[in-house]
Amino acid sequence: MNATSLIGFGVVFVLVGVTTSAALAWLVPRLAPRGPSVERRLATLAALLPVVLATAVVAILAIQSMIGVDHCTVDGHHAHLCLFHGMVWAERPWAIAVVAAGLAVVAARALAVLTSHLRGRALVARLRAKLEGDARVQLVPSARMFCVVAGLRRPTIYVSTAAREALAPDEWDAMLAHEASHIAHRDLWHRLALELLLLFAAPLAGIAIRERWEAATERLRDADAAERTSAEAVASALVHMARGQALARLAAVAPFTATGARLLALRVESLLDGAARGEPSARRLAGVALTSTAAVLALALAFAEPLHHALETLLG
Amino acid sequence: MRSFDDAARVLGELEQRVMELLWDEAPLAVREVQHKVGGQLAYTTLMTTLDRLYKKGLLARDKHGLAFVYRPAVDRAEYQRRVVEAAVTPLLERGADAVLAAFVDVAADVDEAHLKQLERLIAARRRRR
Repeated sequence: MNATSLIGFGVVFVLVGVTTSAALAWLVPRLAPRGPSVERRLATLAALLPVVLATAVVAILAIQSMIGVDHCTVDGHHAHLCLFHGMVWAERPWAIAVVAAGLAVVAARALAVLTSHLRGRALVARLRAKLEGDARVQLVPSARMFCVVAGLRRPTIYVSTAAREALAPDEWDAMLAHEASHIAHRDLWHRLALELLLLFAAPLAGIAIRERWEAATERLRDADAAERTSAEAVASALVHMARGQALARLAAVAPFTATGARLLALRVESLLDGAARGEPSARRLAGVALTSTAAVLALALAFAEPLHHALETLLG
Repeated sequence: MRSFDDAARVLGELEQRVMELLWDEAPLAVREVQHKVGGQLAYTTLMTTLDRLYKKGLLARDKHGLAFVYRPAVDRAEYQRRVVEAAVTPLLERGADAVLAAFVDVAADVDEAHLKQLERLIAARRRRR
């Protein structure tokens, strides 16, 4: 096996991954109105499928070259997608550039994810060290209005005394039910998995997919909390907390996002409208995605040889 | 002078011991602090520590003759509250998003008119029930 042969496979991985990722990122907002379950499932698939498809296509090509189906000895007019005869890729500067850019992007994103996790964990640990006790709900003596859940191994709800004092009892219960639902559904773990999959997403697609996934997850947890308390209590808690945070910002410098404002309105309106989660559609979507992926892979396997040759002709 | 946030973050073990002592027994001169914290610590070490705490805004001092007498500038409860606040601020504002899920986006730019409109919707829904 020659290491330079891997350049060709790298090009295929990048092209299949980026194309699929961009197409799915385009599709997510178009199917989002079917409910937050559909939106979250679609966002997850948009992160997962490009990696699965790109890996599968590269695996099929590599296995073919290993079992001797490749035609390297008879076709000399292009660079071969072959573990043994792919040396010519080293003479294709554009291919080297594509693979190098792909690796650089993945490495930069991985570093950003690692850094933000380490920094975030340190900040959470620092807060935890200042608090007494080991309860799953930590009341934080603070004038700021906040309620967050943090911690992968031992998720804990950190809620400020200001929020405790400002919220009515039904709003308080609704807010804690929302955060408890995050814990029950292991959302922080799922988001970390999403972040890892998005290392391979097309440029900008990752941002759109992450935003959709988070918005859908928040709406699902709102719906969970509404089932345990009431839709009005959750909606009222959201507005109350947003107002408290807006007042705090008058004296503080923090990055503002219009996205957050739009999401707040969407969450409140969805709760009050009693909008469906879209779970049946989400299950159907998962079935369709699974079947389609299997079909694509079966076709790729059935027509592996012409596909192999076509890709070589296209790229080489 | 350093900010309280910085001071709270880097308060060392000796500084913490000195603060605890002064919360319980202030006002104290450097020599008295040395005697109560432990005679093995050098006078100059404690003088430097007390001066540092003064510069951090955690201690106040008055001159009695040639020596300074120190007392806490914040009480213990206020100090604890500010320590926690100093830990909360970076968590909410400096990008710990990756490890937490917030009930409401801290950075959401929501204006008052918008909030009032949402409140009217909630009130109308509550009336219908």
